[in-house]
Amino acid sequence: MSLDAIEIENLSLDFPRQPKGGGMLRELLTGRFRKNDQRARWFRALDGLNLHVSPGEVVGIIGPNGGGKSTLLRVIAGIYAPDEGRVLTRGRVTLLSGVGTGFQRDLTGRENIHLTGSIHGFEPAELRRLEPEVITFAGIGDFIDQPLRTYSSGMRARLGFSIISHMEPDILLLDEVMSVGDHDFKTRSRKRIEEMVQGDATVVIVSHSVSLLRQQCDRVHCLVDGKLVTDGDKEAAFECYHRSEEEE
Amino acid sequence: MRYHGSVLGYAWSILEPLALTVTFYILFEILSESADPHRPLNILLGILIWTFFSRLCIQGTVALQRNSGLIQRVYFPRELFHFSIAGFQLIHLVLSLFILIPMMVHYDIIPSVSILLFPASILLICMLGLGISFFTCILQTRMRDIEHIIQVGLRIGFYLTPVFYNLEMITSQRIPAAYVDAYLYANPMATYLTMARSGLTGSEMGISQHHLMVTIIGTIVLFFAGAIFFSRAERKAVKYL
Repeated sequence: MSLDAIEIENLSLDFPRQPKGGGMLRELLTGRFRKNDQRARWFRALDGLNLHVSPGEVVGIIGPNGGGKSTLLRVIAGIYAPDEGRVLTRGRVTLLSGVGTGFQRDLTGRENIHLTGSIHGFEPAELRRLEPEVITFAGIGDFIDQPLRTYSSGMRARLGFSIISHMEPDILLLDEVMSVGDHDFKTRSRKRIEEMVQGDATVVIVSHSVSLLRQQCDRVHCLVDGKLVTDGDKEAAFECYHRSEEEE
Repeated sequence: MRYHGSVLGYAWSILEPLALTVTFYILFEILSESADPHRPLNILLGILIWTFFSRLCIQGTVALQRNSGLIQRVYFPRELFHFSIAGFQLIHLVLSLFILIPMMVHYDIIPSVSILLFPASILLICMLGLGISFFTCILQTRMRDIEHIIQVGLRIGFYLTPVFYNLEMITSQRIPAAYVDAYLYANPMATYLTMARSGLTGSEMGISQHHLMVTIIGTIVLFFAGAIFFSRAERKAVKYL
């Protein structure tokens, strides 16, 4: 058996709830005396979750809002450390969720490509190689050498998507970022995502789009209340998703 | 970056402390009888170093909170924020220090071996600022009050530390020795500023070896304790962002 690209065993993650009323101060004053209300202050976002993904496999995650989908991707990306259990990834991981993070308003588009790239762990030489492709794909013309504050929000999003989608990760985590820019760019970005998904990378897609998942994934799981409740069969996952939606 | 899009640009980082220096200099000429041959130099040096320390503390404190968008999308060691802030402020400080050179020429100050005290004091101030902000920045994710406490603290510290006056004014006057001792322990910045001045101008420090050792060891311990605390608490703290 070859080594899995992603191994998740018995993963649990808790989030703090916002303290109510008197808030922090009251908690500080009284918290020491009430040790037994731990459950009230923590909220279990992921609950004993197991998932193994082989290299090159494309796995979809579907589920109701607040089910823990985005949190799961963040744990795989290393942003949150698990409270219980174990998460192991092999290779470079890129999380694609929302675009244009880490952009500096006063730097030019070109400088922002290098900034974002280096945040994602790229060497300057690699970035110089990728730069022309990124610029062509973004299709924002001469604006690439203008400061980012002069961009329209669409242009910003296109540049952001273009940078992140050219990162060539071993493990790609997609969090419903399928629609940015105008119609033409939407089509191209959808195509670009399909290319990435069909490439060598291991992919985990989080989405509400049944059609996208049905078309792109090798298997799909349904994530409800921090647990994977189906075994990977696509139709079972979709059915579980519809059921959980009706309950709401 | 800081002065991107402003006409005078980099000059601002000199003009602001220079204006403050002139103000304090005039104030002292009017109010004080004590004579300090290098007063303008000492005031400017104090202001530049204090500004460095205070920016380090404030920016370090809000480092996690202000960068939450980035933190929630990319993983990298979060200590990088602190070290990049320190690096940036250090470069800023070194560039501003060039303005001292013409002043030193004017006063005929020729650096001796004691100049080594100067970089040593800057390094210690850097460790002190980082040590503090490792703690405060974790607390800031849970309590946004910390930022304001730090700001008020720094403002008070500016007056209670020999920034625009010399340590002698505290040590050699009406105040009993026991209080001066306690003051020096409580305010490491007083020691480091005096150390930097003494390194640059060759003046007497007026701080005992014992004091110096305790302060330096304290700072080093604070820095490492902060770094260890941060690397442990950081994984939980990011959930509050």
